[in-house]
Amino acid sequence: MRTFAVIENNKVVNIIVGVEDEVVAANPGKYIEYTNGWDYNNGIDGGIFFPIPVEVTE
Amino acid sequence: MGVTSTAVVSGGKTRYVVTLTSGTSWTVPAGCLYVNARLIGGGGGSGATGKAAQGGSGGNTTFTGATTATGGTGGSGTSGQTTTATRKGEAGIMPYIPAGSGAPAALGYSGDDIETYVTTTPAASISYAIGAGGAGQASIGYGDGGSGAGGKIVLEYWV
Repeated sequence: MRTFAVIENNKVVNIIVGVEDEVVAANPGKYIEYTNGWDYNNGIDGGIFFPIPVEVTE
Repeated sequence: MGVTSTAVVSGGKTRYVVTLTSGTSWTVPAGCLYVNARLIGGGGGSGATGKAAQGGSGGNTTFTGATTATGGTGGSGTSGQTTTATRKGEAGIMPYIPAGSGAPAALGYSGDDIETYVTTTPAASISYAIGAGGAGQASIGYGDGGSGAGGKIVLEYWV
């Protein structure tokens, strides 16, 4: 199942599945497809859906 | 994507159940004046060993006119596992935690499960969104946190 991040004001506000190709094409910049996590260096805040991982020492 | 099932005749009307697991719009069938909409949000992802950050929250499931089902919060501990949830809206699951890892559980939460009565107009198009499962947190050891399962919408109507 294809998964998409919904973008508003340069931030991920929801993550949803199965957005049709024509809907993605009609809303440029609103839907970004992702597969293996999130690209934290793309300038878009992942919000609560993609927290930035932090290494810890145990 | 919708799957229609369970046709039951009663009082001259037939009951239909449609399950939506993807897509963004649903066309109201002829003669359908209301639906019982059950929305389930995406499950939260689990955290992972060696990471302070939590798993990602599950996505919100929406259907115009119905109450939104919020996705489950991601696990906030420092342990995780590699099993991915399979039931809709279920959170990532916590499995084996190695001895000596010193890591507490970090299971994500399941998405909300909410039913709403929605009045409809035949042939109208209703917008919806299916919440995705939250991302499991990647690990630096002992396995990644599991991802949550995606949400769904179940529509019941009589025509």
